[in-house]
Amino acid sequence: MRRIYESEAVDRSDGDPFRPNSRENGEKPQAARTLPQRLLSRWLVPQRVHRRAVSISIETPDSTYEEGEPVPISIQMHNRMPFPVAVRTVSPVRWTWAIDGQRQTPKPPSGAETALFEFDRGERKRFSRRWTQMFQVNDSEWEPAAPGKYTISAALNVDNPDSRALSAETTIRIE
Amino acid sequence: MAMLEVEDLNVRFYTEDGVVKATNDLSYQIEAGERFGIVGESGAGKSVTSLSLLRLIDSPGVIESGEIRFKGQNLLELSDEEMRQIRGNEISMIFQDAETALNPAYTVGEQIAEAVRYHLDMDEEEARERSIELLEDVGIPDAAERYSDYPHQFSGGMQQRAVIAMALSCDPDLILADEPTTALDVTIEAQILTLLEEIAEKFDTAIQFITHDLGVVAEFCDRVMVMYAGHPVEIGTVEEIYYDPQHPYTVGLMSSIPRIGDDSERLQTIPGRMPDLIEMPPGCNFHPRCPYAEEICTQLSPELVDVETGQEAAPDDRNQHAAACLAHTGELAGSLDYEVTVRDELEATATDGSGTTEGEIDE
Repeated sequence: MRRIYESEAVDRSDGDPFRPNSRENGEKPQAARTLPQRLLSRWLVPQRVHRRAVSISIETPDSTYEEGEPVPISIQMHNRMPFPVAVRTVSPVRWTWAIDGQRQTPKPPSGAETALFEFDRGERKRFSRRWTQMFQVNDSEWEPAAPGKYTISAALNVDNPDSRALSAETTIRIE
Repeated sequence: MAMLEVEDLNVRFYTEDGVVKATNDLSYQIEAGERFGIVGESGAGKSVTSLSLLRLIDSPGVIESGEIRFKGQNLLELSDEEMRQIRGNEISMIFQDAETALNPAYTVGEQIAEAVRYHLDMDEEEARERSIELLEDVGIPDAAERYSDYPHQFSGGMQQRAVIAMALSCDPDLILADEPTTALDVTIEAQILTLLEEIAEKFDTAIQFITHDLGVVAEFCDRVMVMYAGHPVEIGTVEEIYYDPQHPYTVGLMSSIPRIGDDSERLQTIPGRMPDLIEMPPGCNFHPRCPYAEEICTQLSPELVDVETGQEAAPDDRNQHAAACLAHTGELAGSLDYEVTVRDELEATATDGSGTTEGEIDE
């Protein structure tokens, strides 16, 4: 099919600002990225390298909060490798966060399938959470946190995230 | 035994950002021939509830726990083949977005005829006749000619009607209507509602009706469930929900209905927005938006209770009016201090031409 830009229908001129410039023929597109990088990385790179590629950090804007004041939390994960990685997690939950060790992410039922937590090359993922200074004590009850020091942590949902440097923590004080 | 019994249904979506709790311990029942309405804001879990009934929740969503019993049979335990025999035949669905529900590569008629041939064991010619008849029933003009049209040749309203025809094709026992009339103009909407009503009466078909249009619910449904953030917050008959709402969210929804002749400058709305289903507020999920919230509401999640007795609601009690608010279990120090004004139709016609229920929150 003859395309419009191949026809002489458009009056072109480099000098006239009111007419389109002439086309530079012969310029071919640069090589497209045709390799299925994610798949190749999954096949060729061992899972331990995928895990080591990812770093995690956690921070809060302040270190001290008034009693009852919501605490904004920012979690950042970074793939340091120049190729995509995919970390296999132990359940469909990709990552978890906790306050003083009390998990704040719902637990899937036992036997739930694993999942792949995918990162593009050099990708940074940012997540935010807000702790309302409440602890869930059972299915339907919460209680406020007392003044004191609290450790907020986040980790990728893999076995032993601490020993694999896939967890991070920060400390805040409630006054 | 009710025809459909949903018990403690929990649907979760495992996303990268976190776990979306789409429905939480949802329990309700629908009797044969009953018209059951589900209302709530966008994101309340209404459509997810319907899709779970047909096991159409797709990855990353999973039905994590609960039971869906249809005629005593747990749908979650059936094989894919057994489920296919039920879909479209015994339970059918009118999808929300007709344009995407229809396959653009097949003619509209063929898409209706396919279900008829598969479930009703009809031959090509019989299925064609049945499909044309159905298209006529839903108000498609020149149905015989439009049978071989493709979806893109239909207008939005006609596509919606074609989807409705498809849902009605096998005379199902339960129709899950997910906002079936949202894309239609009011005259067609009235026709479709009358058609659904006729079918419900003629074949004793139960209808689960999801809509944002509270007026349609009032006209069409027998019982209503109000949902908020994946939880049922109030269940009762249409009269109870509209004339005697017992949950602040229901009151908010009722008072946000625009009324003809209302001289207030702005439409009354519920302040704030639905919480993020990944990060639900502690205690009662509605407390950040509730004008009656007290400290206890941030610490205790209310159960669905009988509004008269304060006892845990029984899903099989169809006459029960239940609400999930601490005001009904005596844990709230104050009371739900609102007034419901029911305007008499004659008086309303005389004053402003509307005959609606009016909920007012006096803070």
